[in-house]
Amino acid sequence: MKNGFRQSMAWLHTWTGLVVGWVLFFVFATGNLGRFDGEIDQWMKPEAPAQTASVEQQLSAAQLRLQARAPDAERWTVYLTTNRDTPHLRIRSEEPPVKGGPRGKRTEEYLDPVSGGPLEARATGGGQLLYKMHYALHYMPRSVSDWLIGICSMFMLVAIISGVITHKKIFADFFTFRPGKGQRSWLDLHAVLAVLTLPFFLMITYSGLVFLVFTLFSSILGSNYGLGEKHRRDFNNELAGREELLIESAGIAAPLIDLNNLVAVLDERWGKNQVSTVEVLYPGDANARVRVSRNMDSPLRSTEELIFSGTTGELLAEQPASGVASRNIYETLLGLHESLFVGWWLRWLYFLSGLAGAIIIASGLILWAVKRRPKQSKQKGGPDFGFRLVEGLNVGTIAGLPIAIAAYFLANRLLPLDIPGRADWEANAMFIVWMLALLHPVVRPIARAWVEQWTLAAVVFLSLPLVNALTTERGLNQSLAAGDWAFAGFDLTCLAAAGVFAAIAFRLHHRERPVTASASTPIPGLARGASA
Amino acid sequence: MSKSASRNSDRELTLYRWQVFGRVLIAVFGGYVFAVAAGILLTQILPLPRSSLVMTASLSSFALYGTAIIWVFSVKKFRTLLVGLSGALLLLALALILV
Repeated sequence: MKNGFRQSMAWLHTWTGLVVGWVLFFVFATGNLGRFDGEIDQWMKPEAPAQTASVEQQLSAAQLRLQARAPDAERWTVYLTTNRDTPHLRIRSEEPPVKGGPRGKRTEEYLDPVSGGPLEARATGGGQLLYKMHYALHYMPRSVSDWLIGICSMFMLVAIISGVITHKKIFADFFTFRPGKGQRSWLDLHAVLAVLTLPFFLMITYSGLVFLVFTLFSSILGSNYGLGEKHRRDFNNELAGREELLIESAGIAAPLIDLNNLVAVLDERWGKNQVSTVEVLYPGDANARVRVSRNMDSPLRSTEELIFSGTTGELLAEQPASGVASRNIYETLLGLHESLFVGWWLRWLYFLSGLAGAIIIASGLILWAVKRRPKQSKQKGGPDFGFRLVEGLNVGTIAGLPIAIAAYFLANRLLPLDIPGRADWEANAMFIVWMLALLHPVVRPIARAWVEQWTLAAVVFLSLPLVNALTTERGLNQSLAAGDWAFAGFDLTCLAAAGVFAAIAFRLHHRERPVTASASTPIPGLARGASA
Repeated sequence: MSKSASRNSDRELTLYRWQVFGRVLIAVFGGYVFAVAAGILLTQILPLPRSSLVMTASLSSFALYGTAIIWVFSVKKFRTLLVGLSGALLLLALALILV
């Protein structure tokens, strides 16, 4: 296209990255917080008691509640607190599909296993909603968001491949960082982080796409099985070799066994507290099946499963964790993406890699503007609309999105507990603040907008631990003393973020003046880079 | 003289922009059709059970799509691109009819 393969790829890298960069930044920021979604859930429900109920207590409470609330459901799922994905006992019921419809309605609820009723805590989207935004966005149905996210991720895959091709000296880039040199420094930062985290970056992008493969490439499955949710389930069960689940309901009523009767079998086979989910297919029907899955202990997301008859409790089938090669690859990719199997130190490494990913995207976007700045500012009639748009989106997203996320947390503490739609308003607060942050650079000079937004970001993140200490009994002094690591970790991370944002704001503020005073400043550093 | 030269380069710039736009469309839609067709073809020719076939082909689809996009933007001449893509799609269609 251009002269030479490498130039064409450099062009492709620039434009694919630019077009979807801001969405990808949002995806990386919210998805990365999802590494600690359980801890954020706890922080956002400060009055919820810590979960100490046994597996038996949880199963009894869940079965009673589901029997009372959803006796006619097609399937029930109980998510036990034995795994880190579920800080509070969660149940889900799914109605049979309406004739011709894709899938029945799903209802989810958090339970208090002691009282047997719904979990008593403030209405909040919690860490789960924030994490969910990275693949489902917000204010739109999954049928739209899946395609949007799919297209953006595909752009990212192309940007990564073309970015790697563009590189001449991949080894030298490990050791090359020249700070304080404007455009050159932004390029170094962009490249050094990308080279360091390339395996993570590629893995997270490809595996993220794989989550959506049966939506984006539904015709591959469809041409072999037929389209629709039912056929997809059949495919899944066939692939996993779960023949026992390829059955229809009998249409004859029969009481479901007490799920607690299964616990002794599970404990004997797997050891205590190894079960993660219990799924009941056709509860109350003569063909009822109970599928019990074990906790993950490796990147392979599929785990051992036991399938019982729902009317007699007889063990019908046993599934090993691994199966055919293609399924193992699929499940390993998804497991690596979700990282549910990792301990605390590897979880932080995931978090730091994701942070690096966000910085790579941000520095790429800034680099685009920095590179065009000298020509654009000399142009008659001022910079182009497109250039100003990129600069505004950069400020409002790179500095503005952190402010918006802090607003989500602040809303959790400050909104009255009894307003209707409280959980929705937490998210609304986040997006309103983000919109304001995007509009702010329209009325302010870009360099000032950067300083002001980073300052605000520092202030709001500093305020989070303070507001938490004032509104709950679990402020930093109490949580540190009690070894309450979900709370202490959250508050300390906010303080660290506030420190970083304040340092950026301080630096930009002090670099900005000499640059505006004289265009030939010898070291046009970070400030000029970011504000340029 | 200089006027006609600048008009000429204007025309070239416009042509270049249309070609970029064309390549974007070809990459996004042509690449997608290619990946789907190649994926379905894989499910027809690999010697595996049906469910494994679908999974293998699905997992490869993004790699096929990505390769197609990279190729669309790496080819120098627009004409080579059109010939190459329609040739590949014709071959795939023919293969799908035959198997």
